[in-house]
Amino acid sequence: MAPLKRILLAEDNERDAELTMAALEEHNLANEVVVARDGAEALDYLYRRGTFAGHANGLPVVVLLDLKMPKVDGLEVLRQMRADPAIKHVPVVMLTSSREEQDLIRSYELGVNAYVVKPVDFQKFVESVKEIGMFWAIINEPPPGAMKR
Amino acid sequence: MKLSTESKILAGFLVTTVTLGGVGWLSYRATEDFITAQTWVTHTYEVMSQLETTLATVTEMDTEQRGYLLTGDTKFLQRRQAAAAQLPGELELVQQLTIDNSAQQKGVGQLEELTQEQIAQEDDRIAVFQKSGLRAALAQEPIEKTDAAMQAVRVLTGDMWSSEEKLLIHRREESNQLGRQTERIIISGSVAAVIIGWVIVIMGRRELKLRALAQQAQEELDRYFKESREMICILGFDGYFKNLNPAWKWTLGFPVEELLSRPFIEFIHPDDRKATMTEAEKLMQGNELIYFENRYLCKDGSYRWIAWSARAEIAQKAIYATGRDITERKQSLEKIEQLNGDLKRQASVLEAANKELEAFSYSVSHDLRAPLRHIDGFVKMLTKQSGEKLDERSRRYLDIIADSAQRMGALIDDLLVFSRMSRTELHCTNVSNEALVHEAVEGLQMECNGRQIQWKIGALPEVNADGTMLQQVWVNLISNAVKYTRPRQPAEIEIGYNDMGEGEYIFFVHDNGVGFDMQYAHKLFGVFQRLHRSDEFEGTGIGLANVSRIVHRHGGRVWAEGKLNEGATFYFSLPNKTTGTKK
Repeated sequence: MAPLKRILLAEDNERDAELTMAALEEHNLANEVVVARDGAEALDYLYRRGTFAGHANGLPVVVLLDLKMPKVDGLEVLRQMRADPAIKHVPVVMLTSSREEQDLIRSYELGVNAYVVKPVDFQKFVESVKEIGMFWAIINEPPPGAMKR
Repeated sequence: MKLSTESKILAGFLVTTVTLGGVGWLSYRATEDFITAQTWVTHTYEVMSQLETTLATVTEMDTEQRGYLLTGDTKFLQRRQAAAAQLPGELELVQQLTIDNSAQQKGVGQLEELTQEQIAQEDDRIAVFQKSGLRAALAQEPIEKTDAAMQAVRVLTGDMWSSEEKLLIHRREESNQLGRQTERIIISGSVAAVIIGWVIVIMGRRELKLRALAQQAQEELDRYFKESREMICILGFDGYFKNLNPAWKWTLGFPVEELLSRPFIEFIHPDDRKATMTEAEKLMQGNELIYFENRYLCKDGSYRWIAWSARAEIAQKAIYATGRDITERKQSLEKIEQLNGDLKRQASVLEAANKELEAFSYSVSHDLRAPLRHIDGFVKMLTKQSGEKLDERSRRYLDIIADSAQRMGALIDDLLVFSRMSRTELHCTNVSNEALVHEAVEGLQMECNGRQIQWKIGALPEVNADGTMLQQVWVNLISNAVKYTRPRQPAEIEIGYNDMGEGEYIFFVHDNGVGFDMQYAHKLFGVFQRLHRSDEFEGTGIGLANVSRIVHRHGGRVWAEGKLNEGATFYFSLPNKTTGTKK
């Protein structure tokens, strides 16, 4: 039986996605991750449409969102999620390169659960991603409707 | 009630005429009456005199008759006959004189009878005397008879005389009264004339004064009309000017006669005619025109902008308007608008540039860091994957690649912070520098561990500033002091300020560290400018650039003094204004 995909990672940059997956692997969380290549795909996954039509997974325990993505950016995904009562409780973590104040303000205004700046230093990056995965996928009690381990 | 001058003059004339005419007429009447009264007095005297004459003639007739009877001398007879002949005439005179008086007429009638009787007696007696002598005469006609007749005549004339005398007294009294009345009328008439005369003089003088004032006012008005720089006009409802002041010629160049001779609309710019006619129609309906601009043709073919205000007098079928030449003002306004437009364009260019800069730093922040992360990440993964298969040198190269990537990441982060310092809005409040300095020193505990540092921190004033930014200033300057005194044992760091009393405080951080050569002082505050190698003292060289940027944004200055190996002092000034609200 294929493992349940409990983490949604929205990341347009392949290399970043690979690094993130590598970091998650260190904690055996990699095979629980679904990767969406932009915001539109992330929304498709949440609404089970397009390429993700009819997948068997429930709502993820956490969505890791890159801010800057083609088509629909991270802030827009967050906005749409928070506007829909069906998925508004899904935790969202911004995982981004931007330390810009406006991005921070906008994200928190829209109700982000955490905001993490990707460090350049890989070791620190691994630490960060590991902690995020640990916390949201293992320690945190997800809202009702999310998949349990 | 207000009377016109003409009415006043007419009324005055009427009053004067009536008064003086009345006085004259009354005086005339009084004088007439007086003269009549006087005539009557004279008349009475005449009657009395005539009565006396008549009586004297009667007496003479009797006396002469007696003389003749006594002497027989015909001289007496002749005189007697003359008197007798005279008597009817005398009586007639009396009769005529008293024709107005019926009582006296009756008396005259009796007197006639009496005297005729007497004459008849005497004639009888004389006739007997001449025929038969005195005795016979006296016997025939006794003398007593005549005496009695005489007596009767005397009594009668006496009565008549005293009756006239009574009349005389009455008439004289009446005459006197009339005289006095005439006198009074003349005197009061004269007084009235004098008063009227004075009133006329006073009123005349007042009128003259008013006229002089009115004339002066008129002259002033004329002068204003003639010399005003404002264009003044009276425009008839027929579309022609009725009157224009010389300002029209000065402004437009057309002679006034030419302006008067053509419909006014011909002098207005074709594009403004419709709006002008609309305004004129509104005026003719009784609306007031507060402000209206249109262009007027000049003799040289150019147009000038005139600003109007006007009112119409419907009864006069005329519009009264004043205009001001605003061509220059219009032109400067246009210029200002043009400049404003330029400024707006420049502002939008600047805004666009700012936006671009923001987009740029955003891009730097997000896009430039990603490849660095990849370099570092994949180098680390490579090392992990095949590190054992690589030789020492290759592993060192991989370390250098990773280190460079990290270093560039740090530079980018510093640059972003610096750019944020320039762009972020200042949120100024009253800030305690003492608190900021103590926080900064506490934050440096790690760096100070195992070091001997003598802190000398004086009292510091509050300033109005952005607390977060000012904190950066203190942290940078104090951490620099800690860093560059590392070779000193003990290190001395002094923090204080001077109140220059010229609206600013000057803060300083002094240390006894490695110092610097003053000839490179200008490089201290530049971005990524360093006076030491990073293997001597770590850092990217952004700290003092941030300090300088923050202080400048607060309206202050930064500078430094130092000497190689003898320490350095960094100064910054801040305006010493604090707002009323304490934090």
